[in-house]
Amino acid sequence: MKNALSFFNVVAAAVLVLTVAAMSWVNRPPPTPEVPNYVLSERLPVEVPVYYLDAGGQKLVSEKRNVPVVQGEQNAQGTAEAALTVWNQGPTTQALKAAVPSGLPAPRVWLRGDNYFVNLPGEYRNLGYSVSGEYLMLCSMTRTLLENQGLDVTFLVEGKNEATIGQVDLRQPLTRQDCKDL
Amino acid sequence: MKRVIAARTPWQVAALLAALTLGGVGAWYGSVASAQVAYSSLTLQGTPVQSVNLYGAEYIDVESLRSLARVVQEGPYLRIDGYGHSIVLPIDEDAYRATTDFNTIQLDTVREQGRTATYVDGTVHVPLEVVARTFGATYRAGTFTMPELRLSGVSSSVGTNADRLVLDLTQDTDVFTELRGNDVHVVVRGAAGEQRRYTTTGKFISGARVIGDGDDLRLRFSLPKDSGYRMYKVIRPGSVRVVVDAGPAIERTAPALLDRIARPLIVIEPVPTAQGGAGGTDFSLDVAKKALALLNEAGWQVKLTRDGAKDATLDQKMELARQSDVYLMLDVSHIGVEGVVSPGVKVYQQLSENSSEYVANIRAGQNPAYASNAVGDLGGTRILTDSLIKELGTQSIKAQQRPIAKILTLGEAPQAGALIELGSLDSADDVAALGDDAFRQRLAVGVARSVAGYLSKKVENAATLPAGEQGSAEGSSSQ
Repeated sequence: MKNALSFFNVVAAAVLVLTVAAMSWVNRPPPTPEVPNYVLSERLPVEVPVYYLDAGGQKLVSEKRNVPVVQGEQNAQGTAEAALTVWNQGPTTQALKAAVPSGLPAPRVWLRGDNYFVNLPGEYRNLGYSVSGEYLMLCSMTRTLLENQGLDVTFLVEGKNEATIGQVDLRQPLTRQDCKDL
Repeated sequence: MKRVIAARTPWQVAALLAALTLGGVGAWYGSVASAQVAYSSLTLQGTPVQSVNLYGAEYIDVESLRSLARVVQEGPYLRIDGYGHSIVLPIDEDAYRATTDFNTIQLDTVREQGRTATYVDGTVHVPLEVVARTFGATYRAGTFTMPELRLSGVSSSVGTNADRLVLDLTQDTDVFTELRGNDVHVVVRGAAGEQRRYTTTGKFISGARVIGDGDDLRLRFSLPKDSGYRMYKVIRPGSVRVVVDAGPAIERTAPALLDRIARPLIVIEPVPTAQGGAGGTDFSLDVAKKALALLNEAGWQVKLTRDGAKDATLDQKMELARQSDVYLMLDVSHIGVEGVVSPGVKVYQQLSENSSEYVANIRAGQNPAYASNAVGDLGGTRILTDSLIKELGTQSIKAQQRPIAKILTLGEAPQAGALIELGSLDSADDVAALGDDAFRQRLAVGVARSVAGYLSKKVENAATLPAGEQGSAEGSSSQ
């Protein structure tokens, strides 16, 4: 019998042991992840001017409202969303009137750069407003959003670009200039 | 000859040569003397030049004539163009024959036998009498004067399907026509003339008026509806006539844009209301129909976007708005929020930019031809809304004026447009008023009068000349 503990056999045995150890290390079960500890971001009150109609249905009048916004004024998107929610709910002042009937879903809003995009729910097509009423309603949203920042507001209807929901031209965004005399 | 000379003595040869020399000189003198050339002076349009009297006719060399007309020699012919006239003269080398009526000459479109050009001292000379007769100049021996450019008279002739006006000019000049509103202007450049009114017995041209326009003269007459006109010159030796024909027999070739002034399109959009009007009356549609009837009666072209419940599509409305000269929206105020009432009649003036880049460019200052007929500035809308307020006021309806923007169809209208709110569905008083047929009729009268007044003023303005161009002279008729 030749020498069982030859140099070659010892090296081969060592490699085999190392291979088995490596395979067992690789196939070991992953560690159980720790449950993350979620902490709610702090909502800070932000004062936003929200535009409503006067009782005569001719003018837009702003009402200062405090709305809670995550990260406060730094979150422009959140401020815009909160402002439109409050706009949809109506004013607290008795003399002012909401621009839309109660119970209507609030529009969603996104801010991209200096441009707001407002998605109007399908119900806005059936408001039955006169031409000037529709103009007032859209301008009240536009002025609410553009009061502090932004250049213009593009209105979408159910996520799509449409020419109008009645008579007002929605093909191009509305600007402050379009609503300046209200 | 040698033998003849050789046979003679030297004194005889000398005598023969002297005789031959004298004979040659005598022949030359005789030929010149027989040509009867006499140089004299001529005052050509106030400038002294030399002329040649050839067998009793006064001739001038072409270099002197070039101060008056364009003279070109084309082979054996001479062509003279000036004052709208054209003369073609053959150049006859026989000076005597040139002064007779042996040659055929062409004066404008007339060919006749007459004096023609010839050489004198190697230079081409032209008979002044022929030039004067063709150009209509005042000529007597030694003086050649072109008359002042004047409109010497206007005459007319009556036809079955077209009438004719003829303008007599003392000399040719640039003449062109312009269509301003319903008026045709014949502009005679640089002409003087008596400013007066001419009347005719024609069916299509009842009269014309000559007015001064700076250095120019204008003949102005009204073009009947559905009639065309044409202008051409008739140039004959000694006379220039401008002939203008107008009537239904002549094709109307004016650009369609010009017709917009004379035949504007009024579009009325009665906006459908949510409640369709209390008591079943569609207020905006009823007022629109009443206004349509009144405007049609006055001869205006009106289209409604809605007839009963059938409303035009948005695309159709935008198309009509783009074609319109006046676009009116009639609406009844309604905001579906409890407690919001906006009573009263209101006229909204749209102040936002037009949707069309073409329209915006023109309003921004680019001004291609006829642009004002295609695109009006916002001044038109302002005048229209002012007129609406005023005319509704005359119907005892107090209307408020308000601004508005971004209305789709008004933004497509290249000329004037306005939104009129006839009242409010949310106001019991307004609904009661709108339920009264007499009130709606008053609204319609106010709307129709204001639109007709606005468009009539526009037609008048199109026919009005810039300041200082109005003539005021009146005169008698010329048939």
